[in-house]
Amino acid sequence: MIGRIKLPAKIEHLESITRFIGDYARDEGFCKSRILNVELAVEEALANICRYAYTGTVGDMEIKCKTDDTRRLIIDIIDAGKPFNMLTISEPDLSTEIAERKLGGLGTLLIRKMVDDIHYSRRDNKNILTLILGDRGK
Amino acid sequence: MEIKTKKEGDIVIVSVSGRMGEISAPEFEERMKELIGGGETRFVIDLEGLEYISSAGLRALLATAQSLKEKNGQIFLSGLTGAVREVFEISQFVSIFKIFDSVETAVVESDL
Repeated sequence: MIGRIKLPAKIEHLESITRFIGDYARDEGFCKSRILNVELAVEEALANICRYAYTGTVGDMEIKCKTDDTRRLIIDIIDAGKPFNMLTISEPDLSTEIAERKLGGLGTLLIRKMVDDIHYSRRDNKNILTLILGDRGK
Repeated sequence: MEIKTKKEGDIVIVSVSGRMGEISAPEFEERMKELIGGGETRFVIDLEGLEYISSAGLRALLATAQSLKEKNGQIFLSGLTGAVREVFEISQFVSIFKIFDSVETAVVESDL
């Protein structure tokens, strides 16, 4: 079964999409802790789109998901905003104390740690971030 | 997300349950700002009932801790489990916050 949801890229729609992907993973038999990982990776990617993809304009965020023959979840996260490849972002400095800790960069770090594999492509003026998560054993 | 507060001596115990994500995290930060604005400076944040936290939740906790630090305040965390503990470990928030297994231990340590 292929799942698909598309909504305006606004923070208020994040929960609808994370709930959609969580339900999809549940229906595919993913365990509870891995479902939370899926929801987290998707929430972080979508939050980036809502904040940065369409500065000054409005646009959509879209999710397409399916499972492959090894029961891994393949999630395409699509927006038509400005080109952005999160894989080029360096990891935040995690060695600093509270006062010096920066607030940014944690979202992309969490995405990387949640997934088994991740790809980015730019096609037809769209950003396509593909997240791949197996049920267990990251 | 649900937030409950109670006071033990001069320590405010803030129990957060449910999910702290992009939408709910600002609500937590706002509540903490109100408490700090009201003169509270010592907190134990009980996360035992928290099932899910995203980077927005981490940022809200960090911003709270940073504003408390400016006031020489104190923030202890307790009850991290499952996915929440995993996120704290990945982000290495375990090394910047004082974290205890239970609210009771955190309150005792807080009094020292």
